[in-house]
Amino acid sequence: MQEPRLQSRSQNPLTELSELRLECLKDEHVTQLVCRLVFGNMLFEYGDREYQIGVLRAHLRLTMEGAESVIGTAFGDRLLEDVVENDRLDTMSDASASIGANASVDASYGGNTTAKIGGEAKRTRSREQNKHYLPVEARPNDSWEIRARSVSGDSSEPIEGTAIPGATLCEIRKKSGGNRFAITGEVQVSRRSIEVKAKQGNKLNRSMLEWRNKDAIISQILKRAIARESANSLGGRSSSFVAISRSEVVEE
Amino acid sequence: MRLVEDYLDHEDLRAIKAVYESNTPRFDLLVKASGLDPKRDFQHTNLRNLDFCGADLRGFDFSGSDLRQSAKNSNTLIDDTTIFGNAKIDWIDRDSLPIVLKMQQIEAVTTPNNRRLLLNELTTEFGKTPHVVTYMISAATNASDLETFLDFSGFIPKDLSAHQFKTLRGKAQTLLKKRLSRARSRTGRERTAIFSIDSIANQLRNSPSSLSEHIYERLVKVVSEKQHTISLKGMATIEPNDLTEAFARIGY
Repeated sequence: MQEPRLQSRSQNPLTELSELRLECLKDEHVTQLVCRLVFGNMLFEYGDREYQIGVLRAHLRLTMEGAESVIGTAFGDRLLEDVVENDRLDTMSDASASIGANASVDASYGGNTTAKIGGEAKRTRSREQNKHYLPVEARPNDSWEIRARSVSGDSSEPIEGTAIPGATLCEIRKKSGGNRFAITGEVQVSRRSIEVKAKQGNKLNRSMLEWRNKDAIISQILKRAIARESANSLGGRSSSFVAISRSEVVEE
Repeated sequence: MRLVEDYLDHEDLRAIKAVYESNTPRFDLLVKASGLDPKRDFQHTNLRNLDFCGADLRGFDFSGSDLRQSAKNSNTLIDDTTIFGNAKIDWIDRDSLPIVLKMQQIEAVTTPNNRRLLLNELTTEFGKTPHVVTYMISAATNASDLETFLDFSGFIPKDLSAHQFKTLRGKAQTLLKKRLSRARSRTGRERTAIFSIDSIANQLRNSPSSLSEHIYERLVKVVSEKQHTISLKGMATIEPNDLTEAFARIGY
């Protein structure tokens, strides 16, 4: 009998706003649900006005048929809230030493790679590169919340960047007795979380006073268009939530 | 890759055009022009810092929306058909803020005479308090043409900080350059710019104890230092470069 194949399908109708892709990686012991989730902003220009469209907060929600997540394996349960990938290179040398004479490379699991070059320390040069991902927090019942990365705690900035960089979202266990295996992930945002900002600053001037109401109405028109596009592609859910991306893994 | 324009249908584009080209900032009239539905399209949305003065909000449903810091006045129509369920409200009552109202009237006028009249009322009624002076400096700094800048500078006092002088000097120089360049471009001749000078000098001359007078004093000094003026024993001619030099001396 032929082994059932797992097929992945993703729908990202608002291509600049969000991308969700789910895949299952199976070995003889576990099935890992691997996820890539990235957010961006869209720009719209009309006349001399420019609008930036983004989302302030999003939820990734999984629906499973014939499967369940394994306790303790959820992304965000195990990792720090704001994932940082660190790549650091320290170089210590004296002026006459041949650099690299005592070089050793130490690579450790978890995204940290450190290369150290030994020698008599007279001058130290250090280069460090950090890659930050958006904060992702595990929520109850196979859902996750993604917020904008903000040092100041300002929640009015739209989410932009990678939330989950092709990492294991959770491990999956097949339920016994089920005759269908399907996992659907959906990125949902509340209507209030869709942020349309006029990119003209907020100085108190005549232009701002004249355009404040106009910008708000044009923003509503843009939001309506986004909600309609999403409903046409992904189906409507409720009046207060909009699905912007969907990905599913089904056994065929 | 699909752009925002690809999600907008004919009706969306018509609505955006209607709002963009509308002559009124009144909220309800803009909504009517846009074709948005007051009962549906203003729920769960960000409506902060908007101006609802004079607007007929009967029949609007603002459920779950954020209306904080939005302004209304005694002409704003709200009754039991206006729905605010779970909305965040923190109205600014324009009627109780006459100074803000006056400033907004100044921002809204389009003719110089009305602007000067209202500026006169503002400074007579409320005095040249730090608040009023800060507003006038901000308005002058945001002026889009030299005439507007000089209207405000006629009411700004001379005793300003070095930083304030620096800000105003930069703006004045930019606007003067623009004005002279526009005058030259009409005929393509340098001497045509002279026709602009007379009105600028008159505007500066007729504003005692103000930033305008401060600029005029510098203009007089620049002109009287000229070799040509000395040789004509005090008979002065003002040239575009003299104004440029005088504006460069603002604050010195």
